[in-house]
Amino acid sequence: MRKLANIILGIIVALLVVWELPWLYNNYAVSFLHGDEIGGQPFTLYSGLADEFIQNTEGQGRRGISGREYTVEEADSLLPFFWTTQLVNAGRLPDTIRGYAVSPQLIRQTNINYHRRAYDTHTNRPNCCLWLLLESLPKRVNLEDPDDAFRFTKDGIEFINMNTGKVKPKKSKLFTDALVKKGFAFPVHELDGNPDTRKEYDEGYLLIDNNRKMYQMKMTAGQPFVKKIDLTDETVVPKFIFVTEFRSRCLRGMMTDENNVLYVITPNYEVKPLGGGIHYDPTQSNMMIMGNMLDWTIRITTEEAEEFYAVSALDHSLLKTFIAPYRSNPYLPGLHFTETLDRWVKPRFN
Amino acid sequence: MENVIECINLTHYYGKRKIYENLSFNVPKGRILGLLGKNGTGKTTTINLLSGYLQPRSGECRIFGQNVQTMDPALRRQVGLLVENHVQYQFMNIEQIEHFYAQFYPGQWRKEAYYELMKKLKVAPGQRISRMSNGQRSQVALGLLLAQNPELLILDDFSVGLDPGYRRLFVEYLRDWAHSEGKTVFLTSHIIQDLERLVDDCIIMDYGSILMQCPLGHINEGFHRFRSQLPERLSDVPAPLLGDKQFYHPALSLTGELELYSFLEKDEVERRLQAMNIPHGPLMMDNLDLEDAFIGLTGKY
Amino acid sequence: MFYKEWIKTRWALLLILIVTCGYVGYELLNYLRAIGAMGGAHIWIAMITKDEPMFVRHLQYIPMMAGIALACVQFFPEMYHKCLKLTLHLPCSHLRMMFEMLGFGLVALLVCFGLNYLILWLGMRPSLAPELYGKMLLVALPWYLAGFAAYLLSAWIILEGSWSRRIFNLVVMFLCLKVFYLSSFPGAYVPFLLCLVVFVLACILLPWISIDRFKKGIE
Repeated sequence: MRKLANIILGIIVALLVVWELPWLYNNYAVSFLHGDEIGGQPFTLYSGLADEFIQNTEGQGRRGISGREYTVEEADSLLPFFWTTQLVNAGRLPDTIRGYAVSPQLIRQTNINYHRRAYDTHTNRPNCCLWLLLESLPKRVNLEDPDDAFRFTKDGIEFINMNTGKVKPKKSKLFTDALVKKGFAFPVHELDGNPDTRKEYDEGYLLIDNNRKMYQMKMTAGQPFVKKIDLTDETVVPKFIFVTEFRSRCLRGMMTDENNVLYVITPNYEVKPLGGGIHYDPTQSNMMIMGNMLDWTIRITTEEAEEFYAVSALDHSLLKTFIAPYRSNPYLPGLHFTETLDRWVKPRFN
Repeated sequence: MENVIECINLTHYYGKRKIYENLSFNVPKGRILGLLGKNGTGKTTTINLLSGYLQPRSGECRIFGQNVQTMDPALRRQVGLLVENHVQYQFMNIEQIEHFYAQFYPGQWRKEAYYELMKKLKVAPGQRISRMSNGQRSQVALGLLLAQNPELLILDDFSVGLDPGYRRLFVEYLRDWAHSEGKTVFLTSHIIQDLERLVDDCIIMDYGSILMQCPLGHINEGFHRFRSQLPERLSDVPAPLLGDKQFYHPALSLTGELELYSFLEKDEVERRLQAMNIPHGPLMMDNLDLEDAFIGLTGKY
Repeated sequence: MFYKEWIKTRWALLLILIVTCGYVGYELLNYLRAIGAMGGAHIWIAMITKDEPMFVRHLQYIPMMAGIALACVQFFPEMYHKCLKLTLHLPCSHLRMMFEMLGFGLVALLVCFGLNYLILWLGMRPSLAPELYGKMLLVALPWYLAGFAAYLLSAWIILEGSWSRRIFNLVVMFLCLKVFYLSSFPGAYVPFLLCLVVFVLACILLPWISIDRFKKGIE
């Protein structure tokens, strides 16, 4: 028994060592020893006017990926949708950009700033599986908090009165029937929605059903609105789905398929590959989109590289690509319990 | 005679400090054996080795023929242990502690022996042991040992912290119990008079070894102090005296008196002094109590 | 053996029970007051949208402290004047005695923590969906497991006789317990809970190392 006890202690100590020592090294020593290797790409944005990605350099300069140096003023002018306030203050905001009439209001209305972190993906975090559905046509201007929450059961949807804890049978049936009528197969496979009342409008939830078909469900004037979203390519199997609710209403949402190809869902429910088929695995990568009425810069950080894609906001075609692999990986492998990519606490060795 | 305790070739070190090497002794059944030794000779070490709370560097201790380190737990029923300072569970009271121990010794537990002794203590049944005096605690510990009624008792310095009354009570109870029931007792005490009243045999330890193991009577009757005034003042003990192994710790007093200890008869001491050509006055022989004998055997320093 | 442990720890156990249940009651009171002040819907929305251990947050270190306290009350008296010698001298297998002592402590903690959970469950059940009170009960689960681990690791430290080894044990205990507090995201520990339970069970053997060293006289 003494031997067994000592073996257990040995295993515990060994695990603590492979957990703590690499952690200490990675957190304190790496920045000293390899400080210049570990930084990511500086702030990078696609300029439609220069047709290249422009990066902030150390100090005050700006540099194009092509190697061309710009002054700050030049870069401001090349990125007018981002440095709008700066240009307005300097009286340098043009009336038209690439032939499109612009104003500060229009720019603010059409700019996009969207982040999607891997840990927000449902498989990468625990979910309590209760959701909130807002009224998308509120009586007053602002969106309001609902008085019920809903859950999906294996054969329907259930609304629960949050003040009494009781199921609302009528509303539940109403929504279940509406979904069934549109061919929705329970239980739900994947869903996404944003019940924040501070947003400007509500698109309800995007759903993937048990047959991997996409739907949109929202509540308008207390009534269910369910829309089946058809894919032109029948072989595409949706995997993850995201509600975007951009201020400009230029999209219904986005989705990825089984092969991690990223698609946009247009306002008229057309599903089109973004940038001709950019790969994005929502469970392994973070995605940031900074866009304007003409083009979007999409940054996807994967395990190996930072990928920058410029796509047209008008037809979602790919304009430019810039892949920046990480220079080296000076980090010691070791035991970890938490990761930046997910919310789980579990042992993993990397 | 059957040995209850057998210690064979015990060697122990604390770090690099040697306590003893190849120490062997036996304790026969039915004897009360006292372990005497100056501080640091390894009395407590021996008790710890015997009770299984210390692993010797080499050698082994056997109780009832079994190695104490791997002893069958059931055999511990027959071994009573008094821990130094009469330690008992401080958080229990007289009744609780009896109730607790009783369940471990079915068939042999003598509740009445315990309560008989407890009647003599002026404590409330609900009083916790932590609030008792040392003397009262010693009686609780003794009472529990008597109730356990083991074949062998191991007592570590039982006289620590006890006033003379409690010491006497402890000694008498223990002696009567052991002799009437033929039990074996192995004990240490730093108060030698207590041992004198109690033990049948003693082991006298010196640094690193056993000086002697013998019945107490052997020392009481055969070991004496011899004194003689020397005619001339000497600065050192004559060398031939120091060389004779039969003379223990010969010394000169401040008044020039020669003092030595020996198991030899008076005539033989006289004869040896003459043979060594040591001029001396009349030789006086003193009978010794155990404490004096112990000092005579081990020296004052 | 249970009798001795009971006599030794009963008042401390009562105190631990009162303190832990008191904390749970306090959290519950906060919850009920929030429901009264803001209405059920508001609390539901906050619980659905925020990934925080609402209404159980202050419980975080309570089970761990309860475990350490119980181990102190149970094992310091054993080490006082080396009382453990008396325990180990009882005519039972040493391993069995250790398991009985630790078993007593674990069962006592289980009852205490179980009662905590019962109070939380009974208090939240009438006004919350199972998904929501489940979320709260789940977030507290690693903390309660930490209570058991803290108890066993503290016993391991207290029963150890050598100071240098005690410090080593203390560092191991600190790092082990850190594992239970890496995230307070509700449900984050779900894939890891089984491992933690296995870890806690494995810790039952650690005090045996200390007892074995005690028997060898290592100080």
